[in-house]
Amino acid sequence: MTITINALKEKIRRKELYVVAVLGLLLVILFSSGAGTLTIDGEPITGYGKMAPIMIVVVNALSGALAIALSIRTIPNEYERKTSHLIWIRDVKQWQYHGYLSLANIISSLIAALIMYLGLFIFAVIKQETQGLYRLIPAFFIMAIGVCIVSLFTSVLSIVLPGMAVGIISAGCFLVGIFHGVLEIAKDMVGGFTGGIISVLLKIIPNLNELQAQAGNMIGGEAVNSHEIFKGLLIIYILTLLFFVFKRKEA
Amino acid sequence: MIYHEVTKEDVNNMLKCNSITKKYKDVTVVDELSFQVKEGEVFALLGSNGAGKTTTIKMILGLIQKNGGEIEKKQDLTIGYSPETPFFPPYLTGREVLTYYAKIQKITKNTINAQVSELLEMVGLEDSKTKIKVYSKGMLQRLALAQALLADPKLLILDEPTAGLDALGRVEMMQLIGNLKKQGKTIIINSHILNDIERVCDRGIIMKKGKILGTWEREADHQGKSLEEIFVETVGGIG
Repeated sequence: MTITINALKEKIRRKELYVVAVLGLLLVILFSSGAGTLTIDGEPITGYGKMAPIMIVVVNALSGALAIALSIRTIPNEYERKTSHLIWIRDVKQWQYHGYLSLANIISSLIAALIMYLGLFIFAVIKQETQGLYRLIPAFFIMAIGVCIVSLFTSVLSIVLPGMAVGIISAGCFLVGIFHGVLEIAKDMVGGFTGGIISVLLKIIPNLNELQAQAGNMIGGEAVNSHEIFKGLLIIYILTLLFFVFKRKEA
Repeated sequence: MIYHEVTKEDVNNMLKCNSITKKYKDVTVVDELSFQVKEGEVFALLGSNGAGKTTTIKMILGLIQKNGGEIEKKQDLTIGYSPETPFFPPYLTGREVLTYYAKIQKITKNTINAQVSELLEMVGLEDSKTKIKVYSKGMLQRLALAQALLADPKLLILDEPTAGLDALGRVEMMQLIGNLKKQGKTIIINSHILNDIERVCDRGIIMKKGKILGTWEREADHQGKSLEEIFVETVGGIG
């Protein structure tokens, strides 16, 4: 845990965590303040019940993007600065080293997500939604599964791939993950080879949209599909196992 | 299975490299290098930039994989390593850095404080409030040496310990190494600053393009030649 704490300290010191998360929070507050009116089919969306599920989509999208940004450089930085030399010679196994650093990535991504999520709490307080406020806590934990998946996936890739490639792959997978529903429809519409590729992508990339929907259900007081939550946890477990597979040849 | 005949000399060896080789694609950086380091001696890897000194050290430490040869280490050998360009988080103090590495090294909690204090005093960095960001190059190198000495390793490997230091910094560092030598510590030093080497080392190899071109021993008769003269002669002159 010493490595995790140190990596976290560094992220906190560099203030990147706060700056991006507060920008996200401001965006969420702006979105919910009524400064701009969101309309669907010409009908303004202002009530908590309608607005909260939409806001969770926004928070989820921003949290995922932040998780990628916060996780992409941690492991490569250690190797570029050769801090890894002083860790490897101390008999710390690679999977432990990378695991501890990735844990710091996850924690910082969750802190950033929580800061943005505060926008939802503020919104609930403004709208005097006591019941809704109570449901926001478990909803955050559901949403956090998606953030963990994105952060872990980015961290694991960053062990073996250069930054640019990690960024492109992680962002691409994240977009497929949150637009699973849309892509399901697109797959049937397009058909042929492209449809086949979309079909494969949908099979191998976790459905983050579904997790987000469960968080929305929790906020709205609707039934939550626990199967999706367990699926998310299973993906985290599988990604964790990849630390034993993805290794660096040299420190 | 390979069996090695254990000789009297082997028993005294701390480390033995047999024909170790490192290639990057088609470029051979270290070419069938063989040498041994005896217990209690200060051994030098000498050579110009690109001679393969740091690569050799990294192979010994297991930081890079070798393409051939063998590295035999004495049973239960513990190694401390001070890198050429140490990086420590600038917002930490020297004490915090040493505590961090001590914890990673799993040094028992109740001895960490005492050990860290002792090492900081030894390298002259007792001031507990000074952050790394205001450290001079010399202070950073001394801190790197201190972290290498955590848990009292049997073998100490110093990669360019005086590189980039001013005259005073070099003197301080060489005094520290000299003190460690007096304590009987086995040390491998990689350096191209020959005056420093001549002052503290017992033996060494002169490398060029990954190969050993010559050896140097303090006790040998060099017919009045300095290490610098021997080095220049061995590597084939200046330029």
